Amino acid sequence: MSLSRVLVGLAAAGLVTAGLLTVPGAARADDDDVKVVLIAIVANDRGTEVDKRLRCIADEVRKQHPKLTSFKLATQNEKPVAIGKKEHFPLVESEKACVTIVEGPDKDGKVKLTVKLPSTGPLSYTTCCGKYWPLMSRYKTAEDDTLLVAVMVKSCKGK
Amino acid sequence: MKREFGEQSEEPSAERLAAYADGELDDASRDAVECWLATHPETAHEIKGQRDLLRAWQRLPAPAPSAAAWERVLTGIEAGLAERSHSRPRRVAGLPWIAATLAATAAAACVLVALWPAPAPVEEPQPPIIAEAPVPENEPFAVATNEDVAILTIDDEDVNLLIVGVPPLREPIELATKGDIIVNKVEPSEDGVLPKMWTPSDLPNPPNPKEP
Repeated sequence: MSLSRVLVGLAAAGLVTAGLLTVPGAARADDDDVKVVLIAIVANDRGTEVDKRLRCIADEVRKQHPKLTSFKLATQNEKPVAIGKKEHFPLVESEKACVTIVEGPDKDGKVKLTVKLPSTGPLSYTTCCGKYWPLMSRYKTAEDDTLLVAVMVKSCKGK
Repeated sequence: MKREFGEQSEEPSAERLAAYADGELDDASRDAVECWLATHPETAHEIKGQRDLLRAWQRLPAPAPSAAAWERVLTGIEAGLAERSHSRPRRVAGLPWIAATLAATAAAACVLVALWPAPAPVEEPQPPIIAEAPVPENEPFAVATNEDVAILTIDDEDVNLLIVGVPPLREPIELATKGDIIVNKVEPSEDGVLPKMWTPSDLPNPPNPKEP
């Protein structure tokens, strides 16, 4: 066996070993990500149609904004967001929301994040997993609809 | 601030949940219960089990007596009639109701014996009824409550945009009194200026902090 074949064999073995060691590491990094689901809702007072999925959100919104009677789901996006990183989520009409995961799940499974919507300041909060947190925005669409978003984090320690 | 906090959906009563499981609520009440269930998955699972059981029960066909059971009933009736016809010549005037009562009792006893479940007739085994788990369609998104969310930072002008959550600053603002504060250490700033401190209780005319 020539020296070159030995070297090639050693290099291949090294690559395989490195691959085996790297893949689990990468998986652990993904496990630390928090999945964020952000839905954009357009609401107005011109109709009564409420998306069935938005019934509960609409009920909460109408407690403070009873004139809003129509709620439609505009966009829904889910992205894994690494802790300490930010991601942009498309809303409507080229508008975007920026979500930053400030801290991962604590002992109670709550996540700290910051949300920045169009025409509003950054808002930091902690929330549990699996439930949508609705928020009004000041943005009005071309159809004069009010833009709302609802943010949900999941995959927090299996939740 | 016009907003009132703590107006989240309240827990429905057991009767209301039972009415929901039985499909007896109107649209508005049903929506309210479904919203509450969306945030209480354990109860939702229990209700779903009850509704599945109810549907399975409604699909279950009423059990029909077997041919052997019918045969026993017929035999019992015939025996009762035969006994009645035999006793007819010997019946005592004035007591016809006794024979009729006995015959009816015998017939009823035969029917009871034939239909009594203890000696259940051996019938062909039927496949067990498995409740189909209905796939929830258009299930409402679960909404976080004030207890689920803690607002940490928000611009004051954005507070009215909140739907769920309580801003960090809640009115009215309550000032700390002298007894609430213990100053452990005060260091001068770089230019040697010490901060002035006072509380509303011991300084009726607090100095202007901007003055040196």
